[in-house]
Amino acid sequence: MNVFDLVLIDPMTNVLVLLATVFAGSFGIAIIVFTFIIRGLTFPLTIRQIRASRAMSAIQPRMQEIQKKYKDPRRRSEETMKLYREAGVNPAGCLLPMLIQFPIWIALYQTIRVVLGSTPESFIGLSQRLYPWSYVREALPLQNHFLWMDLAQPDTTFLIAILVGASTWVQQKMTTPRNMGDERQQSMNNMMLWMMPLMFAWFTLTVPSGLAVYWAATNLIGITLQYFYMRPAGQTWREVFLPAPSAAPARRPAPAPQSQDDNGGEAIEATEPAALQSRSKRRRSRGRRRGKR
Amino acid sequence: METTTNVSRETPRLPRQLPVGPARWTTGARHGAPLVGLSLLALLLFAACGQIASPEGWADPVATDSTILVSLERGKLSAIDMDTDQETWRFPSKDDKDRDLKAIYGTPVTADGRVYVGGFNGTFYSLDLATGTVIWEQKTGGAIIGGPALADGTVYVGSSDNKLYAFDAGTGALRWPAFKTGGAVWSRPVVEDGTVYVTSMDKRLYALDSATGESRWPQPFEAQGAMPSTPALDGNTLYVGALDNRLYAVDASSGKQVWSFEAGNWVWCEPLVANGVVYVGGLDHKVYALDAATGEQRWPQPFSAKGPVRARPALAAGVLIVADNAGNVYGLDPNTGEERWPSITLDAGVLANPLVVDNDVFLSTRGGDLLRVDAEAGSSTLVAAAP
Repeated sequence: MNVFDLVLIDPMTNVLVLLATVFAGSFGIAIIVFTFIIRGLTFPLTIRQIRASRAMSAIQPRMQEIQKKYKDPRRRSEETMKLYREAGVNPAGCLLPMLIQFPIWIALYQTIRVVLGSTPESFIGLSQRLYPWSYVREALPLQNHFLWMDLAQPDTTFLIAILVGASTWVQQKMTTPRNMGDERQQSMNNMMLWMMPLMFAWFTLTVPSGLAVYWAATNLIGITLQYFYMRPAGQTWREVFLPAPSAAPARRPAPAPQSQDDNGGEAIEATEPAALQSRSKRRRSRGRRRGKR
Repeated sequence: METTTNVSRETPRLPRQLPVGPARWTTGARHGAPLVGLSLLALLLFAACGQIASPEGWADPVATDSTILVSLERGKLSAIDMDTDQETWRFPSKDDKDRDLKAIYGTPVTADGRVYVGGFNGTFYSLDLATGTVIWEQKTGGAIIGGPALADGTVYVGSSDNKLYAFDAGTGALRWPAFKTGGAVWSRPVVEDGTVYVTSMDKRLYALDSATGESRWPQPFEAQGAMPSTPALDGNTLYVGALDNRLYAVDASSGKQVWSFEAGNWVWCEPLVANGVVYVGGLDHKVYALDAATGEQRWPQPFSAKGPVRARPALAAGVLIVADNAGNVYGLDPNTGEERWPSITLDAGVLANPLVVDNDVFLSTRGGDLLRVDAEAGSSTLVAAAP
């Protein structure tokens, strides 16, 4: 048995079975509650990742400018690093929390697959993962029927496929930058916006619907987190579904307090995320203090 | 109020035009979002396509006068001539595109020139033994995991739709309305003296009148765990394993418990009862020899296999043959549990019960091979390879 199984999949498998027994043997409710718990435990990492991603997103126009201006790779790299320092952005900040969460997501996914026991062979495999607790061992098999679905079989009604596809689309829409000023990038984003939901909807029709319940639950939790925690002030649901504005600069936003420093650089606009703004302010004030000295 | 940025003179003039409006849902980095999305998708694909289980089947081989019936290819039943080791027919045939059994778990039964077999697709078939052509077929509401039992012109088979069916062996008509249990029926029924004994995943063992389907016991026997295993009937006692790690001895007349024995994991193995001893394997990688009357252990210690034991042990030439899910075959002394010869390692694990023909034991592996094990010599030969 490998470490991944020992540390993640086996404990999660036993917890999932325990949860199912708590909820009267309902595997469907256990999947949803379990997804909530795992998303809750990884919430600090999710927040860090989302904030870091937003900060990275906010400096993309300036990154573009640097790439256009400096042809020398070394100089370009120096300027990019300088920009990162200036904005207080760590490029690894986006990836690291995600990398930490990845094994947990995969383990969660695998756990559901294991506990489903959709074939007699997988049921025998499950027996090797259970702890010697009678409460867990005697709970199996779990009730595979949840709402209209047999969780061990693909759903033939298309309802869960539609739910998975729609929730993937909404989440994708919420996490895709709406106006990057780069047509190629925008078209790629648009392609992903539609391709991902369609692919997930198609997977849903081919895998046991227990996994589809997990996908739908994790998408809905993700959407809720995005909306309530990461939403820019004043953003409404309606704006999520609006078509992205044209890539070309349409109009200038309302002027924000800004000024040019004595080096000719431009101040960061007030449209930046609050976290980035406050970081920038701290740096500016530090700069002034250094200047005074 | 004046705010300034700490940007050096070399710093390029920053764009005046940041994205229109507030940073809108810009939680994905510009280049990162599609890449991360694709990576996640690829990983999920890997996890989904590479790991989602599909049914394999573990139908036991069955011998007639000159033929062995075995499932070498997933969802197909092959008839192998014992003299020539050649396949005489396969069901469904290559030309039969309409039938897809998905997998065969239940041991086929033969009688009067016919073969009875159920598929994971939920359909039960009666075939011509000589040609493999379908005589009749009946659809059930769930996958058929347990094999059929045949008695007095009636074939009994359980289904994952929680029901036990009694079909007329000649026509396929239902003899009595399907008996409904509280869980899937994954075991083979046992029929003796007008009574059908069948276990269910609802943790119960039922005794039914074979002619009417009515309950014979006041209450079904109830274990602490689900019962996917087939009971063994010896005299007036039924021996049956359960997913509460126990093997139960149950009085066949009353449905009362005689004794129970606790193993270290689920007992899914159909027990073998011989000479007053119950031999049973556990998913705890152990093989136990228990006194049939008391449930006391007969060996100084249980035999430790290298993998879970689901296949029923077999006695041939005075040797207890045990095969595990890790692909090892052991020849044990039935009195002491000591190994008679070094274990044989196969290419794949064994979940199907073995077939004993004289001194030979035929094993069907998960890889689809059929092997003949000489119980005396402890050697194996390949009879038929997976296609």
